[in-house]
Amino acid sequence: MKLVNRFTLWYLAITALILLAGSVIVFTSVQHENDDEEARRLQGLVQDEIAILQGKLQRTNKTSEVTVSELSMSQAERPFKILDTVGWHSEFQGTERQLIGSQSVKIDNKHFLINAYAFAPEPEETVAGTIRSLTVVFVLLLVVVGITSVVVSKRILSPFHASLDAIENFNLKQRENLALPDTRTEEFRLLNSFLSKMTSKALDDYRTLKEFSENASHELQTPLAIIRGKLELLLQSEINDDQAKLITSASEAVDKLARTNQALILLTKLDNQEYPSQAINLSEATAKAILLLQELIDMKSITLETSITAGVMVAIHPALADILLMNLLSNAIRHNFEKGSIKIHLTNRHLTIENTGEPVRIPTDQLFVRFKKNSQSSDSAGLGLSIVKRICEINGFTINYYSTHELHRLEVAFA
Amino acid sequence: MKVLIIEDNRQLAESIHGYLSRESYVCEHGFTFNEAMDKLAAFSYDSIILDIMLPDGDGIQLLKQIKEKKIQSTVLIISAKNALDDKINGLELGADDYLTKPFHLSELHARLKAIQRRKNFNNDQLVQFKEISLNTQTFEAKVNEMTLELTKKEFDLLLYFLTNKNRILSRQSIAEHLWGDYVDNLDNFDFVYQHVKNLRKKITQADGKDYIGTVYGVGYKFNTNL
Repeated sequence: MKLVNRFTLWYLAITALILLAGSVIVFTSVQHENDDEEARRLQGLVQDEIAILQGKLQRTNKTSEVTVSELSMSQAERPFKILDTVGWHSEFQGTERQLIGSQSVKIDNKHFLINAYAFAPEPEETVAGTIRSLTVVFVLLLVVVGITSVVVSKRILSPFHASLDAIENFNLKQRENLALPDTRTEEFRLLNSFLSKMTSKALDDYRTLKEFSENASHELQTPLAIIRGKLELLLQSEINDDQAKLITSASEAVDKLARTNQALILLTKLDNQEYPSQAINLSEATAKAILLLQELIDMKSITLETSITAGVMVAIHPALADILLMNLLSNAIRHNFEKGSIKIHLTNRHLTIENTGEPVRIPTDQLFVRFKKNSQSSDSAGLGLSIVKRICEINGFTINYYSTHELHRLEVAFA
Repeated sequence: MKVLIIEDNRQLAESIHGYLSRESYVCEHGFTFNEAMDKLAAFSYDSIILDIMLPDGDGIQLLKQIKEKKIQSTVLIISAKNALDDKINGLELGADDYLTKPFHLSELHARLKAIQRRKNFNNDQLVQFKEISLNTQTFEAKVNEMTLELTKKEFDLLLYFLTNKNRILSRQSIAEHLWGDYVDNLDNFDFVYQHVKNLRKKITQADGKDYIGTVYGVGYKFNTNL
């Protein structure tokens, strides 16, 4: 439910309650005022009648509203009082609420009881009137509040929506601070300043983390170079065969470490978007990559089929194009059978590499995840495809993997 | 040949020194920017091995100064950074080659030699050992004055052996020398074996001695003392 609707509903609910309470107040005060007024009029009538009886006043016209009867002298004088009763209304042919003003006076040893009658509106009628008018007020409120809530909320909440959009489009990797609109609303100002602080903190942390991993990777290179150098010197010294083998396995491990490290550095650099793209001829780059790996293809007796459209231009950094192609091709070779086959198909729209090979044992969506590999014993670090994926992402390509049993197809679609 | 090693890490500098001095290089160290500048002002060197990340100054700045002062030494950059722009930057400023850490010492040596050959343009294009001779400009290999039909990789391999004679060259170092950055895409070192086998066959077929010996489980060695 929208915020503005919640506000409106609450507002209307409270208004309805207050109107309800208000109607009780209105009803009682209207009823009271009415009765008071009527009582005063009846008292006036009774006083007039008394004055006539005392001879102080000339009767002008006889009204049917006043009756005079005599009481015995023994009774005490009754002061004026109002009786709330029900009487027969001849015009309406029914009983109606009736107010009677009644007083007795003793004039010249005669005891008169004067009654003045008046029909009064019944409470139900007042209630109906009150409810009717307040309902109209409520409906009016409903309409006005409904319309204004839609119109005004758009205006008032516009900075809020702008902030929401800004957060939605915020990406740490773009390394840009959040651009938030100015607003006069206190809460939104608070929210925006909080968001700005939070995102710039996140950016800072991200930057620090990136710098850290970059520096850490670089710092590893020199010790690795030292280990490699020392092992090499050791290999040249007077040693026996067993020692030579030990040194070699140590040195091969160092190599693997160095390569993994370099792949991680590359991934960091890809994340940092350090490679601006330019239009390059992918057909030539593909041919070059095939040439570089031809030997390996031959060594495994793999049949290579190519259909490369000439002059395919793609926007990508040339070094990344090489890495992409070399990774894809060498994967197709490495995970292939002896006497297997590779098909390379390049058009203006995609690059497809299809190869035979053992069925993939890990879920295919994990193929592009860092350090995931089909067999844990394999010598590769398992970074090749995540590098491929990252390169595709930053250049706006999409990469898809399809496999049917022993046939694997990787398809890169250019934007 | 006189080499100045500008590298702030003493261990690494000593390793380089250790390897190169066996090849009758005379090596000196410059551990800092200033030390290196002092050495360069006082002495002349054939080659400079330059680490571009120095504690008290940028190696690139040092390279600029070397070029400004028209110091004639060849410059080989060694860097922990693999960044392409660094490489291009260094080479544009007049460095002769660029090697990314961690590197094989035999590779470093091969690069130094190659640079040196390129510099001594006219006289030193021929690498000769007994009956084997390699022309690094025409890529022509001869054994007993008979031309060998070598592929580019086999030629490179033979040159690598001749540069690092009597050294055990590990399979990885050979692989990296021949394949550069792409070596991590290779599963095993079978292809190194293939190349070495072919090379040996071609040399012996031309009545050359089989100088290349296998160090089982490790790599190969070009033995001069046969």
